[in-house]
Amino acid sequence: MFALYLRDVRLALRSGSGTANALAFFLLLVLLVSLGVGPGREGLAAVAPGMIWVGTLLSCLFSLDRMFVPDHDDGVLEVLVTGPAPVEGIAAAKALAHWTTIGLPLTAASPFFAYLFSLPAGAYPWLVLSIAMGTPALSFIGMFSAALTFPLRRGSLLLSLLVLPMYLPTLILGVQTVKLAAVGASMLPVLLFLGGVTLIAVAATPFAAAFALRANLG
Amino acid sequence: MRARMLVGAYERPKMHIGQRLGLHRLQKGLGVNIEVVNLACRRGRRIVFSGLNFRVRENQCLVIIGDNGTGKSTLLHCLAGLLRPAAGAVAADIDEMVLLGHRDAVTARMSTSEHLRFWADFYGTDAGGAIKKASDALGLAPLLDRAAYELSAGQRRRLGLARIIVSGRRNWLLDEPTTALDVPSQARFMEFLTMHLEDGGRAVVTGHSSGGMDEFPSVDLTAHGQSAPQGTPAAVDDFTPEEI
Repeated sequence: MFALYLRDVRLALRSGSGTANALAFFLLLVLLVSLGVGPGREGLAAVAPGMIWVGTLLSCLFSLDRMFVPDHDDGVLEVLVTGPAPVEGIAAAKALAHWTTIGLPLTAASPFFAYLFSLPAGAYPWLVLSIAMGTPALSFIGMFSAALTFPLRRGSLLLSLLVLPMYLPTLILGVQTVKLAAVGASMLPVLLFLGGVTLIAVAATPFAAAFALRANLG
Repeated sequence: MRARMLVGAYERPKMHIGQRLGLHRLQKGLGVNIEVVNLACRRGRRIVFSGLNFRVRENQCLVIIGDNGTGKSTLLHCLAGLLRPAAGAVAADIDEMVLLGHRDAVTARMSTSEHLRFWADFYGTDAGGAIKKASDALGLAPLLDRAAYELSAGQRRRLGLARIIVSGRRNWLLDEPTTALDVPSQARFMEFLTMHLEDGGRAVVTGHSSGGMDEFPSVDLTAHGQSAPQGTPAAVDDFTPEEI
């Protein structure tokens, strides 16, 4: 399982995939939004929490269909499932590798994006914390949806439709945390709810994904 | 009469947690043979074959032959635990099964040595020894630093076969293992297959005809398809359930 995690992390860090794509996508979004909203720090600061979270969410979403599809096409997935590791472990390793290569770099880059969006300085730590706490949910829920849809040709549309409603709680709670922090209000209850969603996702999705993987490979 | 009762017992195996999760009939231990009793498998809604009986003991290799679409790969998937039988049962130690499908399970952007190391870690075998053994057996040494996308089809197949050795598992399920292999590699493959069988391994190998493996007993799935007359499994006299 750990071997699979390391393999996936290494593959995602190689050129032309995963991490670089997600960060490039985010930068593009920042550029386009700042051009679209127009100059003026107030306008940007008002949309900053929402845009940073939407960017994080979309970066996660667009990398999901690479999670199982290439391995399935190469025949690696059936080997993984028939190997010594429990299928739940394989699912968790995949999600964890996704978080390490997408969620973690986005968390690390979020102060930079917040600066580009002129987010009030007091909200920085809470932004980083909320993204660090929210992205594991995005990876694990996304992994479950990817496990449902990977055998379908052109399954990414279905994947997006499936995953979006499940991403909503994380998005709403994440944005709310940052918004409250930006105006100096108490955001702790919202942040704790965000953590709760993540814990549920991390605990439940590997089992659900294992069922989906077995059903899809059989 | 005795055999009948045993077959009946296999038809209604005890519900097992692993079975509910899709892993049918788990049984542990190195001494467990691969036994297939009255097996039928389904692909989609179609029953591809039925009434299949055989047993593969230690040191034995069974060749599965049959026309295209008669269910050779389906049978291997079923033996590997990926597919639930439509009827009948498979008894085998699921932790000793290793499957080489028609795809090689090779990732284009990983090098040959990365593949070997990853599989050794994944199967929990001794990395150094297993990699040495596999690359010696298949002549992979000159390819170790090469990325898989630079390999030819035959070289990829050899890397796929290397995983079977690295896994350290004893029951090999090989789907047309000699596809794309050149003549020296085919000879090498036969050599290490023979060595594996002498070490007490078992193998189920598919092929279009038993070409190159005439010495092993074979089962023709064409005779078990839906169009074939259903009856006693006479074609597999060496492996009838009476022996079980």
